[in-house]
Amino acid sequence: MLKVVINIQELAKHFGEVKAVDGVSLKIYKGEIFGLLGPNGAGKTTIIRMLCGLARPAGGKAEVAGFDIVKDSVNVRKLVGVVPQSNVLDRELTVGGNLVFHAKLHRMKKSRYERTIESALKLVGLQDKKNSDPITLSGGMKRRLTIAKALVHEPEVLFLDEPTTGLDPQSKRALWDRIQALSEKGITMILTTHYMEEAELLCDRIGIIDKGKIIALDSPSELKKILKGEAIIDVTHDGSLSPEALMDLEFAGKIDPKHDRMRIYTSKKKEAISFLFTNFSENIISVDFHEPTLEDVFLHLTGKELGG
Amino acid sequence: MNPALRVVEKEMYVYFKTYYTELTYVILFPFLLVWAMELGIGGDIKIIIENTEIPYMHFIAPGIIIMSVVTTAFFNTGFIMLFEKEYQGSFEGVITCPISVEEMVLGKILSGTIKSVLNGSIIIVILLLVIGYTPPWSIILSPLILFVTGLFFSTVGLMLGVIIKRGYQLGSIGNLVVFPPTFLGGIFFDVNILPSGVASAVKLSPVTMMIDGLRKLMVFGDANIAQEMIVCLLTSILLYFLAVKIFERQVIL
Repeated sequence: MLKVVINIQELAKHFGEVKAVDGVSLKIYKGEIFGLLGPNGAGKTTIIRMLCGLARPAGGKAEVAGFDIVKDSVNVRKLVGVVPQSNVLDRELTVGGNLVFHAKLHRMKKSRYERTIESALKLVGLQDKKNSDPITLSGGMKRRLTIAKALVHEPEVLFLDEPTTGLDPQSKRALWDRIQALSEKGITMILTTHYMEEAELLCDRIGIIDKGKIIALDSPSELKKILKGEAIIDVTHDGSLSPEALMDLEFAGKIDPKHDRMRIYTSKKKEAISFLFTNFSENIISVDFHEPTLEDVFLHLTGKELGG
Repeated sequence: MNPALRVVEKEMYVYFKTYYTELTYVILFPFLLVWAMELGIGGDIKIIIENTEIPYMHFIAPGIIIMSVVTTAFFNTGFIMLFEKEYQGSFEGVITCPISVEEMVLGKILSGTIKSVLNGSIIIVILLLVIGYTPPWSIILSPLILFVTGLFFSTVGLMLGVIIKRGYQLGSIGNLVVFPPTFLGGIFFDVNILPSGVASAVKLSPVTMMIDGLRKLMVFGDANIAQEMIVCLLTSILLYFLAVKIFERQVIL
């Protein structure tokens, strides 16, 4: 039986009138990479901040490795590593100094932290930067150093809050490899991201979150089955095409209009395309169709694009 | 080792790493002040306190030292907190470690206190050399007064550094917190010359007690500073608990 490492029950957090997290319940299992996917302000970071004791829940409860996140927050922080959205490096200390200070705050013995620092730096490919000043590192290196810092105390659980935001494609891909390597070591991870490709590639399960609520939760392949049998047709037009003109037609499932674009979910792809070209060839600039992706599922469920 | 001491260890490492800036301050500050005072009012003016005539430069020396300890403790602790929290972001890296709010606050306050005691002690030595007089034996107790002064103002600095979001605000509010109480507390004059109601109120201020305490040790050879120590320690302890509460409210949202 899978061991539950993170158990969240009806967790809530309000900022004034805004319900940032609205009764979220989740179970995350040992060794799992769990993705929290949602637009900005959906509540992803707030969940992570509550889980590592940096924000006080307004309701519900949660446990990490059996420790209550409110009553035992210091014990929770012994077991978790956190990679926040922005880098948390001390520019007065060297790369190695940052890691040593972190290890000392975790009450680690020198013999142990010397070993884990070497291993963390090696994992993120910064072993030759140990004596460098953090300000001399590139953005990607700083991000990798922040990840190394989160790994020095060998956490059981790793929170990765948008770890690849702002990285170039090469650094992003390198980081994905490292996250997968960590997963192979049995570390449980919660990953928040805007990037569908990242979520699809890395996560065992994904929770789609919107307005503080989990609106879908499953493996990436199962989530894509929400739109099973449907094709997606993206129509770019001259602005004159209205959804009403297509709404009553038999082939059209859901239609999402947006400025000069229209997304049509349909199970009758050929008929739909034929109809569009027959009746609206003057108005249509381009037509693109594809099988449903995770992003389509997200758009279908939330009506919003990620990162927006 | 307790994480609070790890915070102190790291802060002291950074302090010594950039000590040349501190050294410039602790050397230049007393020199310039004494020079300016001598230019302004002359070096051989004397003041009568409790029927004892003492050189005015000797009288103001303890106040100058307390003022330097106060500014170091307040601004160093306040600005480091503000910088780590609002600009560098390293503060978030610390509070995701297993360190309690109480330990974090204690570590920051102790760091500011130790730095201010170090700076204050060096300034005492330099000031004695600049003014040129042999102090009474009781001066060896002066680090105790410097310690409670640093403790008090590091705590105040930390509280404001946690609450305030912008550097210029900390600068202007800090000036208000630091300078009026130290000036009114008798750096340049005997507080007894104030109107009686004001003098009574000013004498209750811990800052006045800090200046009085150091003056006793440095000028009058009076080692009886128990009252000053107790008042300053108790107020610092009360402020510590307040700082913990403020920290919890401001940081753990």
